[in-house]
Amino acid sequence: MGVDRRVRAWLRAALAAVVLASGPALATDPDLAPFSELQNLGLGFQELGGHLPPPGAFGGQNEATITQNGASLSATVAQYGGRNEASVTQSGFANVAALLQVGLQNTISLSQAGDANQALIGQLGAFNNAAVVQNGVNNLVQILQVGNGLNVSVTQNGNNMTARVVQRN
Amino acid sequence: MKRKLSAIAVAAALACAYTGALWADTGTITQTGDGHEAHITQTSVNNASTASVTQTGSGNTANVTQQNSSQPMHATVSSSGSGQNATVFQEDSWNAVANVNQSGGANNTASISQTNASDNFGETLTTATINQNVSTNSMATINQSNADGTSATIDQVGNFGAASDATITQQGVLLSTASIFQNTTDASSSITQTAGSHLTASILNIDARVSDATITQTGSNNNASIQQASLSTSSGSSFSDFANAIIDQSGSGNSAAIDQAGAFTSNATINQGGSDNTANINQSSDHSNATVNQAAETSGNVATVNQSNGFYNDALIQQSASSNVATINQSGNGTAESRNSATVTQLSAGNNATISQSGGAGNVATITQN
Repeated sequence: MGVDRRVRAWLRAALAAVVLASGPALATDPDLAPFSELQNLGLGFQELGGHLPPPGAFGGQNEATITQNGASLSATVAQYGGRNEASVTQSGFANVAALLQVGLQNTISLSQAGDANQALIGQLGAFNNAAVVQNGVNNLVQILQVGNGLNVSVTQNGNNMTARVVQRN
Repeated sequence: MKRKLSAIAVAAALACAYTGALWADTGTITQTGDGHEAHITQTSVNNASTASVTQTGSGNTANVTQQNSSQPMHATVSSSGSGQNATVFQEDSWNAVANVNQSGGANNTASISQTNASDNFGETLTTATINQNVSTNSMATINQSNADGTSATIDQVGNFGAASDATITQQGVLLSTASIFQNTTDASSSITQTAGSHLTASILNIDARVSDATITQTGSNNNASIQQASLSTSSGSSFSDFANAIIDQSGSGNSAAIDQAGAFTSNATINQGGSDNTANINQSSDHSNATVNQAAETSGNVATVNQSNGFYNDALIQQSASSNVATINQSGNGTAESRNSATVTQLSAGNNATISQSGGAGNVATITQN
């Protein structure tokens, strides 16, 4: 089984979980988190292309912490588990954070200080929480949450920033 | 096989978690500064969804979209500063609530659209509210369609000496209300309610100098009212001169009222089609013009025009068909050079017309009944 096929299998399993959790009315809705979107969520990140769920996924607790200072830095987190926690702090210019969590309970805390920073966050699970703080100019954050119990908080201080949040079951 | 079993286990765990928990989906964006964009999209959610955007600065944009929910959806956009743009779109819900609050600055715009939002056994559970406070040259728009028992409200207050536009459109709604309150000069307000019944539309414009107000209703048993008035405060008085008010109603059992107090050189027009309608116009200043048209082939209509405290006032009531009643009362101090004029034209039998003029001289009264 190739890398793409194995990732796709995991995403399909997670999608099945969400559809079951959403109830029968939503299970027939064609607009619900189509597989292609979830597939893109997992495979669309260049940085995440080679990551696979670890053995015993959805059964454990993952914690990741990244702190970066400088310019053009990249922080990538991919967590598959029952309870995932990621904390990322970046300060500087043109930094990128790409964070993906698939699990039953996901929590992300991201702080970016500086200009031209970007953050891309994907969470798939039953309880998702994402808190993002950006200070500076021309920063961007995009968040996709799929599941139940969705919670996003974005705070941006500065000028010319964009925050985009999509939540769905 | 092992992988398939683990997937099923995850699915079962999530399903159990869902049925046993009470969740709310929440999206919150807070932005400080200029030139920001905030977008929140919540679709196909099983839980009550809440979207909140707060922006402070200038030139910011906020977009909130909520769709396809079996639970309540609430959206709130609050901003302070100039050039703020807020848009809320809600669709397919039985309980949609949208609030946009904009304060300070100038050139702010707000738009709320709600569609396919039914009520719950006659309760008004779908509401749209826009507040623009001390925000000059601002624009507010609310559209509601296929949504019974809804409420739409626009308040533009404290915008002294500045133009503001307010528009409410309700289509295919029952038992719904629309109201606009403006405290600003050079304002424009419009309410359109179509294909509905038991609707209420009201416009209150204080300090309505050079302002236009229009209400259009189609359907039966609807109510429309426009009030344009001056304002007296400890710091002085404002005026509602050169104000224009128009109410158009088609259907039966409707009522329309226009009240222009202290509005020099103002115009009021009520057009009604159908039967058993009621029209009232009250004006209390000089150079006022009142017109009531109750269309042909209708009966049982009642029209009343009261003009007081002025001269050069004109009142006209035109009624076709039978069993109509027309009354004009003028009590201003007209003169031979600046007379008041009252005219009633009834083009059928069985009608009743009364003109009463008191005060002044040189007034003219004409009643024509064919």
